[in-house]
Amino acid sequence: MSPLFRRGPAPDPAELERAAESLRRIEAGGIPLPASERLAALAESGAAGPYGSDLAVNEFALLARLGIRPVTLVMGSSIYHTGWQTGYYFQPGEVRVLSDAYNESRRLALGRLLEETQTAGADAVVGVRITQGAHDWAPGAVEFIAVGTAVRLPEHLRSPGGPVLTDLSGQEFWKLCAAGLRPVGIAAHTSVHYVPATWQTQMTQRGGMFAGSASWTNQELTDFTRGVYAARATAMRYLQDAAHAAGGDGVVGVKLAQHSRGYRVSGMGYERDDMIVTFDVIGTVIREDPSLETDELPGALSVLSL
Amino acid sequence: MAYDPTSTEGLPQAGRARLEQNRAGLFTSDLSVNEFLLVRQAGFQPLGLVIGSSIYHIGIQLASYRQNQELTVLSQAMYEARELAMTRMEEEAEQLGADGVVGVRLDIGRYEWGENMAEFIAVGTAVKHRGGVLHRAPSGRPFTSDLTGQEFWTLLQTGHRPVGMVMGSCVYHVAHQTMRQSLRNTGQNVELPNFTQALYDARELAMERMQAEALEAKAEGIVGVDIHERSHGWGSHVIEFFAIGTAIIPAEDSQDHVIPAPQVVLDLA
Repeated sequence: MSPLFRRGPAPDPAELERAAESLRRIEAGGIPLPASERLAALAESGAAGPYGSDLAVNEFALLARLGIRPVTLVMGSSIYHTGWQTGYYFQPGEVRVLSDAYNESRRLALGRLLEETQTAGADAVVGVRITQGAHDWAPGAVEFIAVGTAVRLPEHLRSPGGPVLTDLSGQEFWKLCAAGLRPVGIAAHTSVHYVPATWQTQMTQRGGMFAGSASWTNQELTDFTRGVYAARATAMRYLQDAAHAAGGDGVVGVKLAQHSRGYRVSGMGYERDDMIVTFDVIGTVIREDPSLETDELPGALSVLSL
Repeated sequence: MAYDPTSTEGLPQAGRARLEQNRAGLFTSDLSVNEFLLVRQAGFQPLGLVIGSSIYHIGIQLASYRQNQELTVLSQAMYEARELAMTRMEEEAEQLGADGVVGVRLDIGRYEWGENMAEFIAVGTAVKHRGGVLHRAPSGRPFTSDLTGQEFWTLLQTGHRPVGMVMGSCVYHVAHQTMRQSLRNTGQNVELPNFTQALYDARELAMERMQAEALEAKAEGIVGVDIHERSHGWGSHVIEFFAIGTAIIPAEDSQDHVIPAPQVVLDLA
């Protein structure tokens, strides 16, 4: 069922101009023309038409209780090409070019999500789902997609600094507000570290059944452990810095993801399996704000579901 | 396809007998026990499983190798086939005198014996209000929703009711990069604006169409939207974005409706 190719009919020049304008906006880190026109029209009409939302019914019900109204679905995405870095496989350390690609792609996607929210005249985004895409036609590229529901907040919940992004569900947003905590924004970081196998690790992994071989004994591969620690430390430090810069008291709902993969290096007379660790961390920055607190969150009732 | 309340198109003899039996009072449903109880508590009675199906031949469309563009023939095929399946399901629900259909699943089946065709299936449980309060959509058709029994119950608690499932589809061809673009990016950390724009446009089109359907259904809004990205075997560079959700309207008595305060519970199970 693959489509065949042909030379298209001469496209409409007006359409081409719009496509070129969209491309220019994307290159500047913005959102394409059709999206910004639709959202601007929505804001102008005072969100009179039907809203779209990826809220589950439970979320919708809770938010409605707080007087939070959905405005529209919003989205941000970015496909990013990762570059090369030479000579990184001689010493342990961060592969900046890979870390930067992930962080930059996510920054662009979240920036577009924020721009869509602003254009739609909304105050916050809830129920944000951030996923990483992969396409067979763009090998080696990273894609981040963020989809959520832009909402209008009642006056007292509005943040003075403009719209707020969260990666919280509607239920979580409600619980935080009811407990007197104000979501401030999303903080996230990805750190990719490269760990060359030390001589000790190489000897251990090479195996061999001869007496005295290092592979006979149980032992920690300390260099790899250190690599995982280093990647985690870098990611967490950036997360904390970002939270601090945003004026937050803490970060909640932090999701950690770690992937390690082997990387075979061979040269003149040697061959070894090194390790590449990727550490992702994302969470929502919150600040204490006692003025939001309500008595809607009494002590929890223990239930036993049958 | 125009909605015809008297139509039993595509129903085999055995299907008619099944509907007869349902009408006589025996219900079938794919609701779980919990869902069944909640749907009953909400004042509804399940009537029977209703199904709509359409086997559809998907046409061919030519795309320009280096151009980001929607493949309108394919978009239309994906949309129309789903519309056919949904309408047939609604007609079956009509035969049972239902107010609507809950727990609708919309699936696509592929078969080895037909490369360019796909089966679109819609299955759900038809329900009717016990007190005889009409819950149909403003268009007079039975409502449809992909909400579970639990979600259906919660939605009614909020003073809203479903009017129908709304969807939008867009099949899009993502342009191939030119040799010059590929070379320029070699070894660089850069965004691929062409690709970003293509996927952005495609999702935007799907979401916009879904919203247009909601507008037509006179809905207040849409909840539970899901956006899927699939390739359906069209090969590289061709993608379908499909957005689907349940459009809702305020219930007739919603003016004086108060959403009850939730109780915080800790599940010890």
